[in-house]
Amino acid sequence: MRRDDSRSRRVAIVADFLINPNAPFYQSIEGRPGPVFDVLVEDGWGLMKAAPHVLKESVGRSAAITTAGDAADYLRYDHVVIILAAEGLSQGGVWLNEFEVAFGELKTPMPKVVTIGLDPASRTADYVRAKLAEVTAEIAVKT
Amino acid sequence: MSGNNRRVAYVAHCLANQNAKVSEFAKCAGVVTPLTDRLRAKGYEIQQLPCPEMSFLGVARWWQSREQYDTPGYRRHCRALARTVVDTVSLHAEHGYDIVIIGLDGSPSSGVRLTSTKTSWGGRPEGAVAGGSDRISGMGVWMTELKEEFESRGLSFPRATGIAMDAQNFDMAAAMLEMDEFLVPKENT
Repeated sequence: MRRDDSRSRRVAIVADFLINPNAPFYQSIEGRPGPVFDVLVEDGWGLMKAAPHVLKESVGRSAAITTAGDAADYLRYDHVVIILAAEGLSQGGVWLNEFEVAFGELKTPMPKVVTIGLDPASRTADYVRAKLAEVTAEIAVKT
Repeated sequence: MSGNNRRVAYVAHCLANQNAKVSEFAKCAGVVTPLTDRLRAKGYEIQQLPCPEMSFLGVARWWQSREQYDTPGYRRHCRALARTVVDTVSLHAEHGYDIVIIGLDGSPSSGVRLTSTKTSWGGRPEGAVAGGSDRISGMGVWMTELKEEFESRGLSFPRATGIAMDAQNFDMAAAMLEMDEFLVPKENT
């Protein structure tokens, strides 16, 4: 019997760039995200951080397959799962194509994707929360 | 930024996602902030290890001891995950990062300094209800396979420690003091 504890039952698959934007291999990217990590933490999301999008495709695919499997299980047990992508990056910086394939193979609908802007106007907690609210409201309406 | 102040911590999956914990063991909603706050304040980027228990048995798995997880099939699963992790670590190594691993001490899979033992567990899970497993020195199955994957490529296993969050007498403040000492970059130790 599963018993209640403090878990939120809300999980976000997040682009590495949104968590670690100052990594040297991201230097050539012009924009920067707002406080995505802080908002996710404060609002009680669990993180499933995607592999850095600059890795070889085979590595990103392998990581996406594992993450999609976890996500499918969360969905089976009534958790909310979303994907946070970064605007303008290849595959949203989060291996979106690989996730599409992985979820397809699991016969599980692709989670809703939130695309976070990288321009100065997008660098506030309010902006990040508003973007998250767009999809969580949509999920709530469906359920 | 020079290579000397690039730091990255590969943390056990559940330290950034308590939803992955086996039932009853989530201590907070999502991210374990006493750890991540420290890491970020000290300039560490955060990478997240996969949770092999979650991907092998799912969120509704039973409590299990290290002996129950220590099977060829689970080890193969862990080793497959380890390949992707070491591929990712290589990216940070190429860029001169100081790399550390932070596991979950006492875990049958993610323990670094301590793991669990209960050789009597099996079958009907009444034993787990009646009492928890015991702790012994050593790594969990996942950490063992991860270490072996590093070594099979001729790479050193990074500096590693664990947080014993699942222990009944766990003291977060004391654990974080210990973490502060661990997080001092190796060139300064």
